[in-house]
Amino acid sequence: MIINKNFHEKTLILILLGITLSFIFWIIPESIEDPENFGLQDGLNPSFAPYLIGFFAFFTLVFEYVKNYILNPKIGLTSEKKSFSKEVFYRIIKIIIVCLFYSFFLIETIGFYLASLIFITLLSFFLGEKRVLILFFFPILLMSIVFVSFEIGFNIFLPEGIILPQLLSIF
Amino acid sequence: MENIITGIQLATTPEALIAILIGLIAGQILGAIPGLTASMAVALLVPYTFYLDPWIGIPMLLGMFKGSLFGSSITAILIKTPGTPAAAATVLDGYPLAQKGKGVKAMKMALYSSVFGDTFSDVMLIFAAGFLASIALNFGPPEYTLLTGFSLLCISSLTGNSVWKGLFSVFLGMIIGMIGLDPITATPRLTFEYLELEEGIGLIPMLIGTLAVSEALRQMEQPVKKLASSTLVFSKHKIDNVVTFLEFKSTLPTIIKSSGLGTLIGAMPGLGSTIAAFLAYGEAKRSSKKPENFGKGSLEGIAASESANNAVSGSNMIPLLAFGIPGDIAAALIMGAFLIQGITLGPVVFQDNPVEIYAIFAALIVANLFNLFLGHGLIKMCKHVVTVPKRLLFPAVLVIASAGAYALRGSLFDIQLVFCFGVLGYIMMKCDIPTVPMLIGFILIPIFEENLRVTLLLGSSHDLNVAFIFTRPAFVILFLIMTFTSLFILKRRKLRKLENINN
Repeated sequence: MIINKNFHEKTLILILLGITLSFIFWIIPESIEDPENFGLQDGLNPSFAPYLIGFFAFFTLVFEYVKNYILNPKIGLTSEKKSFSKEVFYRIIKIIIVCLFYSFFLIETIGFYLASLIFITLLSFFLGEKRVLILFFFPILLMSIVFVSFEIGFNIFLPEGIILPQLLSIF
Repeated sequence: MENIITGIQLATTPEALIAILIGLIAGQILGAIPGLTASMAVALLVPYTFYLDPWIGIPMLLGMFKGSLFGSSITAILIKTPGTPAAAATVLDGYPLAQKGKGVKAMKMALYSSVFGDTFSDVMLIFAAGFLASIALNFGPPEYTLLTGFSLLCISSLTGNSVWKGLFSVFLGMIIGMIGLDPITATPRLTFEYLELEEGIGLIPMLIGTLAVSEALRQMEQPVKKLASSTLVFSKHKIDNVVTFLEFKSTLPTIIKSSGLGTLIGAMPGLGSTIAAFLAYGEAKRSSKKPENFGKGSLEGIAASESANNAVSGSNMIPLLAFGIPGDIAAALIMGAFLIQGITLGPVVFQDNPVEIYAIFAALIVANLFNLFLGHGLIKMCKHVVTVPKRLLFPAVLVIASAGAYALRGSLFDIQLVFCFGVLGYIMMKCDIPTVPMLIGFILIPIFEENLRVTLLLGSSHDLNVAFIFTRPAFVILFLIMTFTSLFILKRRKLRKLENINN
């Protein structure tokens, strides 16, 4: 699919403007409580810097939009095109879901080592590795190296997960 | 003179030399693991030094610190994953050069400039420790505010093709850097009562996610056939695998300048090697005859960032030795090791323990020499690691990155952050928004904001209010230097534009 690069830029600015405005008018007031009677003489309010940065970002975006699309509206006609592949998009979405599942759920539940074994095997298979021996031994070899270097070498204990210690306590 | 000779003898006993070697090897390997910083490498070794003779334990510690700084650049160049935050600026040119088949050249350039920067700062430490420390101690909150504010402005040189995207990226980094407790009032900011966020966002997960995970995602976009090949192909031409004398000579002015900058920043407590590397990179790009090559595999870019970040390792010992003030966490840990051995660092150390001080100086120089030779071995070894097919390498990188991110704070949340920042970095990459300014904004905002607010606090109790900053000689000198530098940059840009129009 081919999209107009200029249209893409214009949409991006508008989306970022929306995010910036919600940051200024919703996120900051909701998440920062300034102490009472606090001001310049006390070294400024905690919300001062976030507001300042937020307004800087807002003015940068507005300036860019006005400069490119209001003062120079013909710019879109001469813009180059940009290709976009739906196939790549769906592929990357699947990979991101696998990564987030691994980091948010799998490690916490079954522990780092087991989760990583499953993750490497699954992702390598998804990326085109079909040799069973490699799919079986490569993750084991890698996790052994990680185990030896982290747990034995550096005394850093990676997460055990919730299920594994419970199973071990039963047996 | 007798003290100097005894000190050199102490640092060059076979046991001390072997200790330096072991420290260097361990440091290079640890440094190459994403997430394990130089400070962490030192922290892991400190408890063991207690059981060792002082002149085995301390050289080993120094070797480990130096080794980890170079080791981190290897992964930055080969797989776009900086082993430590200090090597993040090396990614900018190291990785593109490696993509051209010149990975070995890039690593060798990193090695030579690292050793040069290291030796430069060690020499400065030996001859100018007292002088540099006295300059650094004149820097208070107003000077730090000015220095970091100027650095934030200079980031425009790293913004890529579109200025607004670079600026937006800086602002985003600054906002992410503000998540956590307010530095003055300890009020939670932007945390939405989420406990993990109160500690703030860690630099390591952010770096690994934005640089390594986003790149892994981009590479995994490729068709399955392409993923069967390795990430890098090394050119077989000899010229692509060595740094020629002419190439080194052409980068030498950049290396010297960046080493000087790194030394100065290292002498100031609290700034550190990551900031030194980015500042030196920006300055090298600004003053280069070919700034258009930066970001595309410029040897100058690699030389600037590597010499600056390594120069910090020697100079952060300046305030430590001269005043007993550690410049960063690694220096504080080294100070701890000295205390364990019964040596108290500070102004009197030159009178009370002169032999030990000269032994440290000798150990630092020996460690640099060994680093140069060992570095070649590490380069040969790492060359083979990246020949693993991409479809196996990238899942492995993601897992090792997760382990590294977890190691620092022992927090599962950091692993989750790695992947969240990976997705954010990937989206930014797709929108042509540069990620490096975001990282710099993130690193600088705590120092900038805290010092700005302390400056305002100081001003409120002064007769002249905020204008009191102009009564400070260090501030005025720094202000003048920065104003002239800015004017010089603007004039040079104007001249370049005119030259382009004439051509």
